Amino acid sequence: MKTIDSIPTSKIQRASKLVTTGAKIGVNYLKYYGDKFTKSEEEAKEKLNTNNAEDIYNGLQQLKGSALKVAQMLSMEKSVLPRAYVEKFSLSQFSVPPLSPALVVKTFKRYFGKDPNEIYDKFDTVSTNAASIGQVHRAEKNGKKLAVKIQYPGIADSITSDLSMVKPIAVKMFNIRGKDSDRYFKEVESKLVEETNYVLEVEQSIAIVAACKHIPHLNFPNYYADLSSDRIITMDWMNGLHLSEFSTNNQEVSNKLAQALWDFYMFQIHTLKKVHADPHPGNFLVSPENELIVIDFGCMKTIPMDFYTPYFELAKPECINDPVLFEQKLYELEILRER
Amino acid sequence: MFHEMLSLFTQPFHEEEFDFSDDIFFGQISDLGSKYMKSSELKNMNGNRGSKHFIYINRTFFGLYNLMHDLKGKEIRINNYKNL
Ligand SMILES: Nc1ncnc2c1ncn2[C@@H]1O[C@H](COP(=O)(O)OP(=O)(O)O)[C@@H](O)[C@H]1O
Repeated sequence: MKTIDSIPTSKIQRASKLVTTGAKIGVNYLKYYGDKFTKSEEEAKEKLNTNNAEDIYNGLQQLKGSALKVAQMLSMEKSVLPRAYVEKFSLSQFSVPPLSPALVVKTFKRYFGKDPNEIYDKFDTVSTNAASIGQVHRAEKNGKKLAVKIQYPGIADSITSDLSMVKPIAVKMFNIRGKDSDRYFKEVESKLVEETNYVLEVEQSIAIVAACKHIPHLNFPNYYADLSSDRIITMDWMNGLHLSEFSTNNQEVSNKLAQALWDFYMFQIHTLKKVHADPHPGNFLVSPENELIVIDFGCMKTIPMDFYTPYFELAKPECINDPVLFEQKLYELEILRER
Repeated sequence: MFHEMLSLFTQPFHEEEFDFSDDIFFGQISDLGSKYMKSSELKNMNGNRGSKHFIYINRTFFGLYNLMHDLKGKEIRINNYKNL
């Protein structure tokens, strides 16, 4: 199953290529920690990328509305982009103005068949937060404060046609070779369609919350399936500060929050064998009681046993210090392959 | 290079307690990140079955360690999840 890429010749070369790819996925996070990383003598190279990104950006700017959104989703999906690209595609660059209150009500009605006022006791038609492909509103029902995430209209319906518009630019952008592009775009299409499926997100969220709610100092909103649809999610409103805005001088508080985060991830990886593969500060809040709140389960990945076992065996000292055994495991993981 | 990455990512697992506020550890993580990131080849499509999971799990650790460092967590009990 060889794909694009001029195939690197030696085994070592192939291996290093893959790591490159894996590490670059980190780019998304590096954006948040950018200042810590950017100072480097490789600025010339970065410049080059910037110019490249400029071209592509200008191309994308000629796209409108949902096509632009698809291009943005695509760039997030391919988060292997160098910094220069990621910055060009960051949310602020493409920020979509919030829906007008009238359009919010209309959109809600279209997705739910009912007016928000028929569903909730209170509903604020002015959104409080932007989400990646939607916006979040405050609401209230039976005295409970709720957060309602509404997907931008039209995104899901037009993915296929938008993708065909974005395709020529993306081909250039990602250096996709002709014979691979169809397969690649089919994959992207189903991925994007999945991302717009809020029913799936609600199901996933409910399952994870049930499995992890026993972890101390960790909180989740309840998700309300009966008040959600494929384009709308209703959950508890969570009071808290974004992790990126939070700071404390109290080491005990730091330890408590960090331990909760650690336990949450270790439990997912080792016990559930399913992990939220997108840990970034936007997905966490700190409550007024200094507890951790998790608010987004849009990116869950299953870890199959035939990957899990060799991966963590790889990590054992007796293996990592033994080059022969180490290489053998890389083959077992099918990270390295015989040609 | 695999070796460098794996050794680094799994370092906390060899301890009972780990100090994620440690700037040396975090410095190594970020060096590794920027090193690979700066090489600007854009080809990530790869058919090897293991690579997909490998990428996701490494991405997860990368993001997690960044958050752990941001939170300045010390004395983190690595195997605590087993007792929950
Ligand atoms: N349950 C909630 N309570 C309070 N604020 C929320 C809640 N859910 C989302 N938000 C706010 O909306 C923003 C975007 O939501 P999020 O679920 O991360 O969207 P997406 O993952 O679709 O981009 C969050 O960063 C947060 O500020």
